[in-house]
Amino acid sequence: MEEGVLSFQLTGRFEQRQLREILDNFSQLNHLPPKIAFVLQLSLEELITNCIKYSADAGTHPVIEINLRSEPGLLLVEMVDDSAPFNLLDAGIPNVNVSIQDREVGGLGIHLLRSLMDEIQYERNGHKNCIRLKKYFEYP
Amino acid sequence: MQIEETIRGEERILAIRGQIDSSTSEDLEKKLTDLLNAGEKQVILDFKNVDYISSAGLRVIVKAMKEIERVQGKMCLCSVKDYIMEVFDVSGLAAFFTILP
Repeated sequence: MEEGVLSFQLTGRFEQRQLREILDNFSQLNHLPPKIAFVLQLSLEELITNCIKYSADAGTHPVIEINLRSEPGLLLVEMVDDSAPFNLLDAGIPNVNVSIQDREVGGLGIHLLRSLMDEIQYERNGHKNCIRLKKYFEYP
Repeated sequence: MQIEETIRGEERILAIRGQIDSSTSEDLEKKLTDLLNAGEKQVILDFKNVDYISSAGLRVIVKAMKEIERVQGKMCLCSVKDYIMEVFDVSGLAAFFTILP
């Protein structure tokens, strides 16, 4: 099986449904197992919504570029955006050991990302954030 | 995402179909709020047809869980797909819910 590669850019309004269609197509074309397709959608949703939220707080609209690559047993996801420096690896980890009443409702997105992905890399290139994610899986 | 409500005695069963993400979680939030405001204390979320949940969905469920606990009610999840269950596990939330098959 060859590798599958897809690149696209998000500008302006983020349309969840559009993103989902793009990702569904990519997952199907590359025969990704359901769990991997799920992790792909989840990680991009979390990354993109975070990026847009923090840019909106700062009053800017980011241009976000997504690069996907599927190889047998490996999914690579890259997001490049032009918003303010933000390294999600520095973000705090929510305390998952407290009672439900003490649980904060925020902070989960990044935690999920870090738990579900095998490798995460962050780099600041000039005026862009670049995040690379890797997920390994069993390839039949 | 669709939500179908069934009444079984004191229990309110919400069968959720589709994806619980940042755009659909509001609908679920509203439904849960309505149930809790109506005084319902036994809620079962049927996840058999849920194929996606993001942190937005988890937030809504955690919020409802806090509320229902405050009124000494109970919320259970059932028929959760394995990769969805993993999301609850890694968030440390699985321990708070009764998970039924």
